[in-house]
Order: sequence, then structure tokens, then C-alpha cells
Amino acid sequence: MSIPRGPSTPIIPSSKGVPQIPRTPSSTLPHPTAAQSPASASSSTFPSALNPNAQLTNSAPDYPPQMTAPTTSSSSIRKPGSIYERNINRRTPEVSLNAFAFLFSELVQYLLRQRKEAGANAGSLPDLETRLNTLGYHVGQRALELVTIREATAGASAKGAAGGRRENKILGILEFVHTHVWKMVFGRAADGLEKSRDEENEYMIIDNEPVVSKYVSVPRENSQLSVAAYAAGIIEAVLNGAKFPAKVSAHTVEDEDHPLRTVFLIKFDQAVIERDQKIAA
Amino acid sequence: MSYYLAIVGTEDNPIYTQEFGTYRQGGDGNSRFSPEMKELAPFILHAAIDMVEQTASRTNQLYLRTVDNFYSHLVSAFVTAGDIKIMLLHETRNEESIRQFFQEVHDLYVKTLLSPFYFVNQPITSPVFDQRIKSLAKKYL
Repeated sequence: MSIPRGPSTPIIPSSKGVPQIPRTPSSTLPHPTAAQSPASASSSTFPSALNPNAQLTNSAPDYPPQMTAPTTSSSSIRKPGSIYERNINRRTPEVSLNAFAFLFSELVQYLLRQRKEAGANAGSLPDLETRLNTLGYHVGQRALELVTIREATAGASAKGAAGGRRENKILGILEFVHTHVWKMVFGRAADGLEKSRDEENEYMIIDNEPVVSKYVSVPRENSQLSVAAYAAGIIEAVLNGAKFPAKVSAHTVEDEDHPLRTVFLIKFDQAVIERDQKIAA
Repeated sequence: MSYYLAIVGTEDNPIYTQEFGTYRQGGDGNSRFSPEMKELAPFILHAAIDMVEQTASRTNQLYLRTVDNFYSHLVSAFVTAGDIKIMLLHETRNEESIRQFFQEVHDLYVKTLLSPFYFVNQPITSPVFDQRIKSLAKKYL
């Protein structure tokens, strides 16, 4: 895979300055146990799994009463209802960046471990990227439908117009990914959208500081690896789902201000380009 | 009056089918298709998929209205952003209530898709989904 360094025309100019990633301050999130029982917040006998002195043998009778309270009084916990009973338009509160970074690092480590167990040599990094891409693909398939349906409702309440839209032009779908999908998945729009000047079917979405690679430092011997392949998988799923077959790859192309700047290179099938020209004509 | 609903996946594979009747004009919600029509309904919808794709390529709306007809029966369709086709075989023209019906079915489909245990193009077997579709039919058709 070649790193795109050729000249390109910006479709949406890259935003200047360091982007702010919105994050939910952890102080606003209620502590799970504090929400169930106010008494537990002041408890000093909270059993900690990290406490090396804790004795596992007699831990059961030592549990403070508030730990067992949720299981005995079911009224304090709201059982999550069927997925069909939830409101599809209600946006869930943003996940804290810490939690996401932790989960994602486990994900990468899990894949690394899997690779080691399979006996693959340390050089086959593209394989790891493919696996990350596949995991992102499942997110993208769902994001496409969900974003469309939410945009439709938001548009309907604003303008009185009904129904969503299917994007049928290349620029339309790219802007949809750049703005709407990025906003829902990462909390902000991407930083740039460019068209390659060399290749007719190549486009680039640029993110100056992708959330996925923010806390991932790649060791020197694996410097070709980009964990943003996960985000590339999301893009690929949205494009394929909307009938724009494409291959998407992630490349870290740092510049002075943004060491993590990542370019998502989108290569459309030739048929897509031909169809787009037919629509434009 | 009777209706036949099919949700068709991206590979033109049916992922959900349901047959029901109207609750209007004293109907009890049971389908009144003749035995021949019951056998024919899936074929009519399958034959209409080409028309759905043709109509869908010309517009960027999700709701495509009536795309095909077969003697006295009409086929209306709705295509989601992810190319899932929701199709309905019906006997009377009633665009507005069918549009509302499709939109709610679309909501239900996306909710199904958001379940981490469901994958694109898998048949939908949830009894809750079934029940929801029937109550939507009662509400709109």
C-alpha cells in the first residue's frame, strides 16, 4: 500500500488549529454504585479488586450491605428493555474517552495475541489491519442506517419535509461520511476531504487527530501499522452499503502540528466513477 | 383487503415476510388472499425487485411509491440507505398511509440492525418484531 503523497485538491479545506475533541468529563457521569445507593459513596469499606491485602476466602460475608442491595431490590435497577422499545432518535450520551481508549487498546491487544497464537510472524501487519478493518465494518453498516434515519427526523422537524435521502453522488456520500458519520461516531466532523489529482477514483478524508489512534503508540518495528484501520473499516462499510464499492486504507502522514494526522485513502471501483459521470451528464 | 410485506436484503434475499389483512371496514387483520394468490405473492414481489432498483436509481428519496402492478395488485417499495428493500403488495392505492407504515417498519428494521447479535442480510426471527409489524399494520393499513 502506497502512502498518498501526490498533489491533491481540497474539497473541504482542512481546518486550521488543533481540533477540540469533545469529551464527557468523568465528573458529570454518576458513579454506578453511587447512583444505586447514596450510602456507598461514603463507604470506606468498599471492597477493591486492586487491594492486594483483600482476603478472597472470607470476602462474601464482608461485603457491605450496599453491594448486595441491587440484587435484592430490583426496583433500584432499571432492566434494559427490548431493543424495540427504545427511541431510535434519542442520542445516547457520549462515551467517555478514557473508557473508549481502554476498550480499544484491549481490542488491539486481543488481535495481537490472536495473531501470536496463530503463529504468524511479526511482519504480517496488513493482516492485523484487515482484522481491525473488519471490526470497524460492523460499526459502519449500522452507522449508515442510523445516521440516515436520524438526519431524516432532524430534517423533518426543521423544515417539515418528510423522509430521509439516499446519497447517489460520490461527493454527496463523501460529505455524508466526512460530516454526519464522523460527528456521530467521533463527536466532530473530519478535518479535510480531498480529491487526488493523479487518480480519478481516489479521494481522501483527513483527520488531524483520530480518536482511535490518540492513545496508541506504535513501536518502531511496526511503524507501518495504523490502528486507524478501524475507522477505515467504518468508512468502507458506509460506502459499500450505499452502493459505492470502494477500498479504504488508513495511512499516518504526520505534519508539523499534528503527529497523528491520518489520511484515509478511498479508492472507488471504476464502475462507480462511470456511474457518477453518467448522473452528472 | 389483504397485504403481503417482504423485507429484501442486499443480495435480493428475503429477510422477513408477513401476510396480513386490514382492520378497516370490520376486518379482523387476517389475510383474505385466495390460495392461488398466497402462492403468487412472493413471485410478484420478487419480480418487482428489478423495478425497485430501476426506480431507486432515479431518485434519492427512500420511499418510491408504487413501483409495479400485477393485474389488480400494486407493489409499493421503500429502499433504505443500506439498500434494504421493504416491499408491500396491496390492492388499493393509499400512498400516504403506506408511507407512514414504511417509515415505521424502517425504524423497526434499524432497531433490529443495531442489535449486536444481528447481521446485515440475516433473516429476522424475533417474535417481538412480528408483533410490532402487526400492530403497525393495524395502525396504518
